[in-house]
Amino acid sequence: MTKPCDLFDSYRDGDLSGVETARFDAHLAACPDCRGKMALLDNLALILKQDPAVLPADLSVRIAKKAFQRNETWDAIVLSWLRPGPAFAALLLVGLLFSTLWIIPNYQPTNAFSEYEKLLGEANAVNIDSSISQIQSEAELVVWLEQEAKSQ
Amino acid sequence: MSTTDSADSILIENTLAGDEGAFAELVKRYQCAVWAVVHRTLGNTPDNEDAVQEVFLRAYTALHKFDLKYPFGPWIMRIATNYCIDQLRRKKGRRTQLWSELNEAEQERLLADMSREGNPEPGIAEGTADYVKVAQALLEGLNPKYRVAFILREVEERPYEDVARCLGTSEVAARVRVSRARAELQKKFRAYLSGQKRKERKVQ
Repeated sequence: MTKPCDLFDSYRDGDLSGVETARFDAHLAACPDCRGKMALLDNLALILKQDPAVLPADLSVRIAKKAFQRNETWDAIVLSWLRPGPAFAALLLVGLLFSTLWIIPNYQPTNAFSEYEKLLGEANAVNIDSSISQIQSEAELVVWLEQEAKSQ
Repeated sequence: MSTTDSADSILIENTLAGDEGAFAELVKRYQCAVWAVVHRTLGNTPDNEDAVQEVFLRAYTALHKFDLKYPFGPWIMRIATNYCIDQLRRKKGRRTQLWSELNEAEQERLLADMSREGNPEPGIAEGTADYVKVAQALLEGLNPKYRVAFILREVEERPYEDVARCLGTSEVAARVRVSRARAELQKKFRAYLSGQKRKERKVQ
């Protein structure tokens, strides 16, 4: 069962009905605890409502100026990029780049010389000694191929 | 659901478009409310101006995220209350030197006045420095969330719906916080009145 003192907050907040308020008024007259609490809260609120500090007249202008100045500094620009949208987009882009490099890690453009290097590697692997191993560039390879064609 | 006041909406849009004057006007509209909460929650300190400034700078930084479907007032008050709660948590270790400044008889007189029913003492009604110190000493040590809830409800006289919006909680949670703040204050006041708390402070 609710004790009369438990209705203190509802009474103070004005949430009780007319009958309940009258009942609590009667309780208040008989309960020094609730009366003391009521007086303390009234006095406390009254003291705190006094506001001797005066708001500086140009505060709003100074705040706006500071906000816009801060907006122009490099760290603010960097921070502005750390907002969820741009940060996510940047992360996605970096992720895409990395995944591309990871998926095709051994990609190399194919040309005649790279094919030659590959063949040479295979030839070396089976110890084939040939004049072909003297070739150092694609141009030399072309000349060698022409000579080979003529000789045949 | 109430939306942002049309004048506020225009000021916010112009601020986001780079109009410094619009932001100054927006600050001007809400600076008194923010100042009152900061001043009453953190006490009268020289840092209050910096605190108000910081609240509005935080609001400016987050302004692009603000949804114009909602009113601006509770949003800025929520930033202010969060800032105050943060500051109170940081200041937890520091205590005001109230009781060392006043002699025993003065302390007893002030405390007796605080619990007096009926017409308040002139010093209380005027909010003279000593009474403000007593009030601040009572609020000190109160859980920062309860303290801000108490200020919003009892001093600012805001409806619970508004208190809840400022605190970012439900109305029921706001009521619970205010109720606990009241009970805690009474408990602390009794301890001061009996001299127990004052002795503790002197030892410290």
